[in-house]
Amino acid sequence: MLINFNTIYFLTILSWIIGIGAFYFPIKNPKRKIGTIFLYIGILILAIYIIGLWIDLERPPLRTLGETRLWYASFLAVIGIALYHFRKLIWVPLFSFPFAILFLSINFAHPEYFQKTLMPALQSPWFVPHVIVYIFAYSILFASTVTAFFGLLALRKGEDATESVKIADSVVYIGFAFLTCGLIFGALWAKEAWGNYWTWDPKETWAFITWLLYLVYIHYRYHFKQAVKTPLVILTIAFGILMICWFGVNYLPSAKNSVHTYGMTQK
Amino acid sequence: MDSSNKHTLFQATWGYAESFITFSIAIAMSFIIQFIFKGAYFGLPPKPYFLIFFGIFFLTIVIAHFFVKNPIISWLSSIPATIASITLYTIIIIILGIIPQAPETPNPFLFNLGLTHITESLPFLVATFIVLIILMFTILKRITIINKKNSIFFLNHFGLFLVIMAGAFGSADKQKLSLKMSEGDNFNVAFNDKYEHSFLPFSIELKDFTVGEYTPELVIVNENDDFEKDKSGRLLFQIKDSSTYHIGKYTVAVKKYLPDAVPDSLGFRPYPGPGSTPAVQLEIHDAKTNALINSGWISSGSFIFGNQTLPLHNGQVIGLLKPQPKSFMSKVRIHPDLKKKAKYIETTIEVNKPFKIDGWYIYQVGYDEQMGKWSQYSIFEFVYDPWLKVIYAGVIMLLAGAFLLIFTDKK
Repeated sequence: MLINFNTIYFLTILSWIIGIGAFYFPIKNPKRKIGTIFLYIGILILAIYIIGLWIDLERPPLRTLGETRLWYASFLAVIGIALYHFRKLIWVPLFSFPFAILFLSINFAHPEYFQKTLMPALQSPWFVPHVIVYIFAYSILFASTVTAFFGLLALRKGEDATESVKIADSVVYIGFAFLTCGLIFGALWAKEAWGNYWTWDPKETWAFITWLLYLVYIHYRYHFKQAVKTPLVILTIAFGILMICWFGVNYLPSAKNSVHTYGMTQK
Repeated sequence: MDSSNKHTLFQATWGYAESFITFSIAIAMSFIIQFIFKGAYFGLPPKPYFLIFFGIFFLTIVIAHFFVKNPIISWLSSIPATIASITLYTIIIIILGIIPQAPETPNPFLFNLGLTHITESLPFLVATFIVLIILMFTILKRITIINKKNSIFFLNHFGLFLVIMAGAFGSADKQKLSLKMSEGDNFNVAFNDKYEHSFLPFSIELKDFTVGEYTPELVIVNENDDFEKDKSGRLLFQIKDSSTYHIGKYTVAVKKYLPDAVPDSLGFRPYPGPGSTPAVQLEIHDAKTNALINSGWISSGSFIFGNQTLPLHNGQVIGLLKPQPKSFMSKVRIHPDLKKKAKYIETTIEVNKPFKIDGWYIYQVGYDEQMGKWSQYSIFEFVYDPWLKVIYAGVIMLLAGAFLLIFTDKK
């Protein structure tokens, strides 16, 4: 291999850290051009590396989990910057780039991570997208809940919370889209591994409940475009359910035979 | 805004109150019927009846949409009806997420209400149908409007509709068979979960079955399951030949590691055959004083030999866990046409890598876990789902819809 991963890792992360710094503290640079340029340089370096790897391996570098992490790091970066351009969502890169850096860092720290004990069903190219998309959705929906929480506080003080609903709204649609992707990726993976897309495994059930509650929120907002308090309350409840789905499922009586509770049996 | 609190209930346009009341009554009645039938299992009728049933169902909805002018028909595609139906459906799924399903000794009351087998109960069927009816009316209402915003609506709603429908059809129409095979076997039949046999459109011959295992992990534990940890908090330590581990108050040195061994008078000797166990020769010293605490062999044990541990201080023992499976795979020959014996496909089937032939998916699902890598058989599953392509079409629409949702500005 002509270029070595460690060099690429440092160059990409360096330009992204400078990029994020210049992006969120745009001193004398109101259009955030410097930040954006550095974020793009990082993406470009990573893209060239992936193409080089492809040519070098004479196959698409999508076989090992480490390789898929490279893709998703670049994916998160591209989505983050795209959302800034198309939707003017300035805070999205603040979530997506640190996640991209995190995944590159896992590759850096554990170059052979995939060789550790991983049950055969987990050794799948769906593993990474399924988990990343969910983590991304969860962190975005977390942002919506924070906004909702401040909105509800403002309402208690008798202030106007219309702006909170607006911000939460633009966030929820993105989070919901990612939630949908995570759910679908999980189903497609289950089909490859077990022959069923859907088996009402407790984790699946709770992920579906979470999805349904955000669905209620979206329909409610569609009907009552001026409503403030109810949407904020729905958002808070939905995030509570999301928490049950993420951490709580393992403690429910129904979770005894879940395929998602690996951590519990192998203490 | 909501008009339901200004007018008399069930007059003119139905709002939230009417929606929730109507659907709650429908679901309450379904619970009563379920209870009268003492928890009987409800599902779609077998093929071809479900096709006839759904044909009539769709036709009724299409006719109702285009030819019946009634406020109730327009209510069925309204947001209040949508939200009420999703909410009640969600409540049923929440019950499903809390009450353990298919327990060995179900509570009779919960069983009679269908709550221990919700996905095969009448209330679930009714709630799903209500969602489906509303989804259909909503799609029909907007199917003739063509613009960008509506295309996202269409992708999301019609995609979801296809997935639910094809999923339901699939579960009624799907064939799932399984087969336990030893090396050298060549079969063209497999069995369903009632042990009834069906012929496959091909035959499958097992040439070789292999299990790959991770090296076993050692662990220090007492009878109360208190584990000794190392500095970084790890409890399990993968064995490496001639390495040293610093675990709590012990220094553990690996003298010899035998992946396949049997016990003999001197400890263990290599033996690559059925019944062998991984074994490790250790020396354990006190981390502070460097005094020898114990030395000797530990083993994971096999279906012939029990496991061996070494005692340490304060009732603790050091032992070796059974090796974890890394991969298991079957080398098979698929004979697609029984008449032409000469032509066959040689392939390897493993977990997450099913083989596809003539609409059938062949999965590697298991082996004799007691015997581990010396398993004498391999278990396959054969799945035929004629609705798969429809599901994938729905999935692609949903993914496209989700993607557009991200990049569309909502004002």
